[in-house]
Amino acid sequence: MKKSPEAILDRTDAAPALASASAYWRGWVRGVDPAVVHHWSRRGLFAALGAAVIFDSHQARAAEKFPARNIQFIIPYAAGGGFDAYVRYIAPVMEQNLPARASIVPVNITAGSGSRAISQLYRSKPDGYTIGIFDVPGMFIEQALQGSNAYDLAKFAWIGTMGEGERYLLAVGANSPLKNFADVRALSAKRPIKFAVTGLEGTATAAAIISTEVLGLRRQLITGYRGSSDYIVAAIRGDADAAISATSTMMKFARAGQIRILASFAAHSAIPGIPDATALGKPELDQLTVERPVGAPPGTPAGLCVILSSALAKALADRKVVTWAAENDVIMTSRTPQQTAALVAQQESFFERWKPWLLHV
Amino acid sequence: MKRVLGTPVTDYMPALGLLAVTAIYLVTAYQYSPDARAVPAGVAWVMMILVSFDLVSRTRTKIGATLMHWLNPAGDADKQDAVKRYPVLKQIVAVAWIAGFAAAMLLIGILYAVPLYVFSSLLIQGRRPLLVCIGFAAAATLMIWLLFDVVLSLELYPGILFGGA
Amino acid sequence: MLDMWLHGIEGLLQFRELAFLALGMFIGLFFGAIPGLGGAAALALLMPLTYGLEPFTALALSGGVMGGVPMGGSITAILLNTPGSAPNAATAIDGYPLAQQGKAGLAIGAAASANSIGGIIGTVSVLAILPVAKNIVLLFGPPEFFLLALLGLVIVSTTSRGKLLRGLITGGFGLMVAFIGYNDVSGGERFTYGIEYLWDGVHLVPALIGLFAVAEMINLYVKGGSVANNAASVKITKMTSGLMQTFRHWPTVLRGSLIGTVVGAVPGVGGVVASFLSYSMTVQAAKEQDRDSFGKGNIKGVIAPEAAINAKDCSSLIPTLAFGIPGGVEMAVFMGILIVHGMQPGPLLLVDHQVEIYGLIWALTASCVLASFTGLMLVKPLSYVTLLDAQILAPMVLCVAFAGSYAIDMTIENVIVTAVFGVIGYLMVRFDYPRLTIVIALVLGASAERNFHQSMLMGDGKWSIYLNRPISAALLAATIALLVIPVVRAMLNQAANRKILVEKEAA
Repeated sequence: MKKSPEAILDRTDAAPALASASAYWRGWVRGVDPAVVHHWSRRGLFAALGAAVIFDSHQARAAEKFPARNIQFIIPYAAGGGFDAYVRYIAPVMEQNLPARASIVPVNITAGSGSRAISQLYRSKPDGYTIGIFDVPGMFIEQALQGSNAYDLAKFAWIGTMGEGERYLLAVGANSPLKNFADVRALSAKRPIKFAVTGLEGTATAAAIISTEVLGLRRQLITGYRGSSDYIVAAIRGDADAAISATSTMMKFARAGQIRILASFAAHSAIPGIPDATALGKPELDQLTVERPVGAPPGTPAGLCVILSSALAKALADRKVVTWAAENDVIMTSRTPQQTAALVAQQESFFERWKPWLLHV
Repeated sequence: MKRVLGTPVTDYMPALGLLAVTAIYLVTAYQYSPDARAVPAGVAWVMMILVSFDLVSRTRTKIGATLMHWLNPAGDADKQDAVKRYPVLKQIVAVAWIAGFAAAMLLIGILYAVPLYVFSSLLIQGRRPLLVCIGFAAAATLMIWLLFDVVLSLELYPGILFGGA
Repeated sequence: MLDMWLHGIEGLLQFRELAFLALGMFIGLFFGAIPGLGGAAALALLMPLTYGLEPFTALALSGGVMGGVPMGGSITAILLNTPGSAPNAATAIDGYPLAQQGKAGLAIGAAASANSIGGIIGTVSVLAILPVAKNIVLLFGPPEFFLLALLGLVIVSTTSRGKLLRGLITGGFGLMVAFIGYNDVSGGERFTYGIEYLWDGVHLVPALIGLFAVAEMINLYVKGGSVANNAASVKITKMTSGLMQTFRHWPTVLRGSLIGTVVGAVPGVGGVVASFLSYSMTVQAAKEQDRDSFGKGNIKGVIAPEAAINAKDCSSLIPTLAFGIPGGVEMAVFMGILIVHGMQPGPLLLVDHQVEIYGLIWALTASCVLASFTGLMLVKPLSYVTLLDAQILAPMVLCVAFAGSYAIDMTIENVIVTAVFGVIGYLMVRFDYPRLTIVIALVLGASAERNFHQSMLMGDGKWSIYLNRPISAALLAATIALLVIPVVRAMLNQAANRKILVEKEAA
């Protein structure tokens, strides 16, 4: 069943429907394709029914070329947030860079701060037709809470990353009485500051917990919002005092004058007039990033990962994507599967350090 | 049909079933943290009361009739007798067809379950000629295949027996 | 401002734009009619096609799809009790009984015209409020949302005539089901009993397909015959009679459109709430002697939800475009199309891409009018579906219903949910439990609970948070009034009756 990527690449039939039928007959006549034989042995009695032959095509197709049908791209958060925007913008460019025509279909699975999406991906067929974007280090928290039975991040087949890790910004609604970071400190002395966040296990929630610990701010989390747009709007509306979110998402609202950014957690921030991690005297805040690795279920053949990885890398280098990224304040570079695995391992050790705070909120 | 307190025994079934479901739900709810169970448990307690009312109101007793009249006048006894009733067996058979079709989809996959179900339903339930059954079974399968597999290029579920997860 | 509107129209009135709009409309109509598929599936299918198009053309195509879907959904809801898309479930409540009486044509005609007028009213309201729309969205925080959900539940459960107790029971059951799944506020999953599928809760659309379509097919299996029991009346169906009904009941159309517009503007509330609220408010507003006929084939029960659905489609663009918070799956996929064409949903979109957005709104309206015309043309042939033999119709409909249910997100568990809710739905009809409340509870239950907890967190655990905010206080007052007024009215009636009785005796 294992073929080298080149062998998979060299068949590029055009119309999938026709190709599927003809592929089947070819496999049937030759009778040597191990995938088809294996497939038929399972069919048992039904194999005898010639009429059925036309209908089942996928396994046969998969053996011929990759991709032969649509690829599901699982997004663990709601439509409209940062993760969603990334995938929805990049997926169409990525599919143009695949060796055969197929759509990459974004699927939002929102339950459980993304954990259901990831455990579903963990158990999907490792055939390259289901991939997903990960929220790291948030997914480590969820993994620790779920116990080992849900999923194990170390075992995923990594494909690449969507851009560089992003640093965080702290912002308040444009009408908020908090005018600068000193006001935030002053408020914290009086009462805990309310932060709007997603579920308890999200990366942004972890960022809120870790950064307030580091900065010595008292906090109260208002949980349950459905993604970054949702909780930033909550801060604009005044549900909460402030929100902490990744740069690209925050800048979208800041440009429209709806929020006021009060601090950046990057070591050196380019945003004028606000303190960065260095100015705040807490350079360790710079380690707080949101990484967006892309992975496939454990056991996905390395050959398929390479195909997907190169499609992703080409998509990120596409001029259209580069321009879009610049407009949205992100740097779009990808990583190889090996570099991605290393990044995930590094994030795991960061998470291990903060585990006690994140698991007992 | 057997009657209890003047009402056919089947008429109690939904309320009794719901009472059991709610009880299980409540027991489960109390295994969660106070925050997590507050609203569900509250709803379930209210349900226990409402369903009990429903159960009592279905009896043809004085208190039952009073409850029904005040809370659910559409279910008054005089209106009930006019409702057309179908044989229980017939209803069970109809439900069994649905369950059988769903089970077939699960086991042998959508593209085999559809012709199998349409064919057998038309033949056994509908008593149509063999050729008509085959024709409709083929048409249904073709329609599903064209729409979902070809046009939408979705992978139709292959069935647990054939490698579906 | 006005020139932006005109630029929007101008851009749309090109051959290519109109052609794509019509194409989108037909696809939307078709996908809308198939349970499980709908705007989301149609847009996802067309998405790759839009890559090669100009942004404006892509929006015309998307607007065409979104405008066509509700009409398609109402056709199957009326003919087969099978809501093509979720909001049309409300249409089925009175539309299907009409079909059973052989008046499918009348119902489809009314639905089509209500659709158009609702769409146009929705457009006008949205155009009027678009400049200040952001403020409306920002008025609805967790306390308002929670009370809105509560108000919705109360309105709907007091709607079913003479079935208050059983309406509350099905509502309660719906809530119990809605709490299944992941708990966003305090973490962890609930009532999943080890089934991973349930982490995400019981999915709404498979449940609705079960409650309406499958339940009715079980009924047809038992009953035999055909949908319509009056062939003669099917044959005299006229295209225009439904149209006239809509104009005759203009207050219903207007009410529905306004409810649709308001509900659509609230982020995170979908079309189901709009159509069910509109239906319920129409029943509440009906005259005493008229009320009993709802659920048994009252044409107003078709007009009200249909007007709301299309009006809502227009205004739900506001939270989607201005804040990037989509009201449903369809809007989520549509956001994807926007992003691909370089229009990032968010506060700047309404500033940077005004012409495109106005063009989109016009496209949506044009498409829903066009879809209505198509629907009217098809009235006659479609009515004959109700004369088909049930023993053949039921298996065919079930195949599409089950396959569509699977196709929503390619999970086979959806099929099990559909089958289970089909049996539940059948039992509900058989034992006379109203289905209205279970639907609204399924839709609103989880978010109501979440917003309740969030409100309490916001208000540091004090209930006063619901009173200190003007809109939430008004919603609370409305909810209480709705509960108290019927009781007071009943007491007054009784007192009046007694007085008459006393006077009679005296005479």
